Amino acid sequence: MKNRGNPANTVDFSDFFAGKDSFLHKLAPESKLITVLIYCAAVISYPRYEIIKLLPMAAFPLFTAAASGLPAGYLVKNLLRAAPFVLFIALGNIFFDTGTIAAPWGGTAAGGYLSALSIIIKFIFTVSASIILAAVTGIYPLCRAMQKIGVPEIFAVQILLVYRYFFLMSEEAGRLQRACTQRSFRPGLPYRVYRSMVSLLLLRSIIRAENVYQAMLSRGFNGVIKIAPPGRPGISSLLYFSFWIVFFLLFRFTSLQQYAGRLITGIL
Amino acid sequence: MHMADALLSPAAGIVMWTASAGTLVWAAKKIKNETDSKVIPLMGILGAFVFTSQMINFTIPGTGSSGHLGGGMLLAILLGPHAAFLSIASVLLVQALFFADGGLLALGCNIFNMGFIPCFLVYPFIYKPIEGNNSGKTRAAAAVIFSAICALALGSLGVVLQTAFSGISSIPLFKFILLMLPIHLAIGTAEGIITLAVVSFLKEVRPDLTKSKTAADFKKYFIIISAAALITGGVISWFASANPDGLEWAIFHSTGTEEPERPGAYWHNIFSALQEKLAFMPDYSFKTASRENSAIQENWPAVNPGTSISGIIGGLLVVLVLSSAGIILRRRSKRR
Repeated sequence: MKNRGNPANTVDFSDFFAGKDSFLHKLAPESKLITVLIYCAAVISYPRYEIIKLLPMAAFPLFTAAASGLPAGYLVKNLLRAAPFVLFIALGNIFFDTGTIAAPWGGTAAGGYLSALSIIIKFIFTVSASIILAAVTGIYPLCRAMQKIGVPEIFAVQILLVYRYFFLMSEEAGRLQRACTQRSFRPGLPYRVYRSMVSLLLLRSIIRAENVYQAMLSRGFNGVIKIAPPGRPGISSLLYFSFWIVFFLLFRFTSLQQYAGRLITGIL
Repeated sequence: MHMADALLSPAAGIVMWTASAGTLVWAAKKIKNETDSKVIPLMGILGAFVFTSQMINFTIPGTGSSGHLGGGMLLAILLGPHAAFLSIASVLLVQALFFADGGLLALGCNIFNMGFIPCFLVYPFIYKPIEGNNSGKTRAAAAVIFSAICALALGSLGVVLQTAFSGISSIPLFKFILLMLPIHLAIGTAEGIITLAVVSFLKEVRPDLTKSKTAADFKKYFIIISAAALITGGVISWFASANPDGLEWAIFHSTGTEEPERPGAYWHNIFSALQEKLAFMPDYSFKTASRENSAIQENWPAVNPGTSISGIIGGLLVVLVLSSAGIILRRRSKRR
């Protein structure tokens, strides 16, 4: 459990948080899912040097984080875990993007720095939106929502199974690793031991799958697991969805941001 | 290696989503109609196994680093291409939602790179022909190792091409490939060795699970999905070329052909000097497009600092108002 922190804790926390009660938790899962998808599409559609116009898009993750009460530490921890590859590409832009563009302070700036910054901002926005969505919705409502928007039922069931069994398997993996660490005098896991450990874990998984299948058969499983369809989205869900779609469109395609700024600078 | 939303253009994202979603629907249909229901819990649990096994790392001698199982090829060998594809896709979705690996829009790319490639390209075209029928141990071992290397290398190539086509990264394509490919060939070799160890172990204790899976009617499907992706890509690029990106449009409409004067040469010089110091190859000239792009950037008009300030203040205002709204809503929920 070195390189991923402890993923089981992340899933555990996410499950616990999804059971909380806030304005966002109560919204229809499909409204939240489609809003996040459109949000991500809007964010990535900004040109590579656009930083200032991206700014209002921070409102969505900040609003959802604030309204849900999701701890910032959880968000930051997940962002940091996923950051290395994106940071590598952003760094590459600093080296290879040799163009110059006008800077907000009146001069010109190296385009590489702006495009790198743009990648990092887009990464933070899109990843935060997805993590908050998962944390305020929970896996089961998300699967129902996916099914409602056309995802095959068998795939939705797979997601539920992977998510559920990840808990059990991670406990088993943790026990195996702990047992090995307690009997070893050197840090790390030699390949020979690792090989047996993973093979045994796989064998145990298969045996578990067979037991699960027997249990499912005894409960009348006929090849289809039905996921209860979500109810009709309420008025608050429709309002939430409509508000954010209009917001994304307005700030992506009009100069509303400039007008709002001029209003303040005019007053000042 | 997960592709991220931030590195994708909407066009590339949509094309990859179309390809992956089409494959997903097709694979789901196949599983539902043709596979034993026993495979359904096995797919889920093996998906969870792959996910879990990534928590256990072995020490790579002499490097101070560690490695773990990727699992794509292992699932394809154990479950067959369709079931493995669905299993890998569900793991990737859980990773995108709960672990920030990749993103919702990049999911199409990730499913393609880590699911489609091992299941529908490497398994039928590389693994099966090498493995053959009733092959010996050496041949079976070579099939596992070589296909794991190919799956990893092709997957990394997928990441490179998707990043390059998106136009977000400025790293030249050839250098990017040179950087990614050797690393992934090494990772693929390690992955192949682990996969072989696990498959060999299973062959001894549960030979029924490692029996050769039936080859899919992938050829027909491969042509259909490639055509669908190409058509989608073609249509999108057609629209994209009709509506050039904001930067090009703004330059065309605001500057015409005249080069605007560039104030603030002081800042420009500082940044250029800094960048030249940092750059590996400050004078690289890999492709003409980059030069053209640089020329466009050189022509970028001097923005009005007042406009920028309004933009920043406007943006902050919106963010502040909506974040406060969020906090108020949270407090109201708590009170109830």
